[in-house]
Amino acid sequence: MSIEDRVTRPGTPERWSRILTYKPDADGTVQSVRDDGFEDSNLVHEVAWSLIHRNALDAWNEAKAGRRSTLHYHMTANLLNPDMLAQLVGMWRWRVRRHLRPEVFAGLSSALLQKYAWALRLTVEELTSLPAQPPPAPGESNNPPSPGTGG
Amino acid sequence: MQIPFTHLQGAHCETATIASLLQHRGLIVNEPQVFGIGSGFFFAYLPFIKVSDQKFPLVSFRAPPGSILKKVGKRLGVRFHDVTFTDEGRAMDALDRSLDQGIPTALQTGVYWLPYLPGAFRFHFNAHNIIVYGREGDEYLVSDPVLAEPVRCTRADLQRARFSRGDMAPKGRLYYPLDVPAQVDLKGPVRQGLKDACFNMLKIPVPLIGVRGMRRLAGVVEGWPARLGPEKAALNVGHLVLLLEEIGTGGAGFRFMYGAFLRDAARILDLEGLADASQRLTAVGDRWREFALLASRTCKGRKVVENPYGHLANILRECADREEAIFKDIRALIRQ
Repeated sequence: MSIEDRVTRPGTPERWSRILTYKPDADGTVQSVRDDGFEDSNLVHEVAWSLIHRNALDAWNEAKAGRRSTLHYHMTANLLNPDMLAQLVGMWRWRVRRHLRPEVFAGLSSALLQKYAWALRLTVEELTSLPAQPPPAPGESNNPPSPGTGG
Repeated sequence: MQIPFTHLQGAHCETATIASLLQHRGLIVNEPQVFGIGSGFFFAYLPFIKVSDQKFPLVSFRAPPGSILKKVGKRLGVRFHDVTFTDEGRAMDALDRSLDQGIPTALQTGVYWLPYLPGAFRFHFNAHNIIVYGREGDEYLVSDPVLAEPVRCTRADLQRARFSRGDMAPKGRLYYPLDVPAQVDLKGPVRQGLKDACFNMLKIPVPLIGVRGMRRLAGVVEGWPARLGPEKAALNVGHLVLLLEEIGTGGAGFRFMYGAFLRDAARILDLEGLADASQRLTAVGDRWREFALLASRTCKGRKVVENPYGHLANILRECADREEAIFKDIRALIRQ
């Protein structure tokens, strides 16, 4: 099987740089090829990411306006839902849901804050505050809204 | 500490991980062969399993995670050490111990928490397989089969990824081959893999699996715009494309990979008919790709054809018919 390296086209998302796939060549035999992905899944990714970014932006605005806690923003920006966050911190879902209310979140003990901060890979200061800038608008980026683990 | 290890880039993490672990132990099988012998070729439409917050139905184009490893082990006569943990510290200690013994070790991880992956990879998906082949201080040397080069990952990050939560949580799962036979005649395993794939695609008596599942899905897709409204229908189609193209190598990609396996199988079993089946399956892969392209445009709101959902359903039915014919032929061939 020959492996062919292709130059990544400008504008293709970073994730596609040199992914290996199996593709048929001209006479129909399958080869492994490193390439820059397919138009179809790139299109769908745009839709998926713009949805994620819209949610993150909404969450940022909600937290800014004091209707939701900063925990809600950080949860959304990390593509998590209360269910998954509850599993990460080992609490019941209703308890996590309750902490999404700003007045409840404001009264949390430092031990609980520590737990959430660990689960979201943030410092407690980051957890209890919002990023100064709103997350990128839908369609601007194909990366998670939260820098999170730095990927 | 570093174990001499050759990094292998693959199209699908599970098969590539198994292939490179076996190659490291001297058993030369390539990724499509692992996929074929492990009967990874599959189709299932499982509407009662809901994915993500949007409550999408699960559509799978591959055998469930873990089954390839089990089948490959059984058919090739390789015994795997395969364990999960409840205690995070113990899981990391077990990894360190096997590295100290010079064993490249495969881990199941959650992709979102692996910082070395490009941002756009970072969805919450818990069945990603990687190989760790060394450690330097706080950093592990990682051979991630979706990447072109080996990478490094800190202990804390790796621990987090091994104990990510949610669906299919990895629970620190770790595996590596224990006994690898020096010489394996691939004829038997290849035949078994083919037979099993035929059974999965043609014979499972549930109308949601194999070619019948495709036909069922076709009927459902056709009804989406009327049942769910245009917006949700478009999202559902987009989700279908993500499952088709992104989980592992994607539905069309799996067809191509299986095509590569069939070509090898034709040589190993000396059955010319399988090479023909390989060509035909590759042609079906192209059709799946067209399906994905039309579906993604529909999802994006671009109008390409009148009644796109009916068109999508027709492609699905056509793929089902063609794959049915191919697997019937394969079954007849290997019975001889």
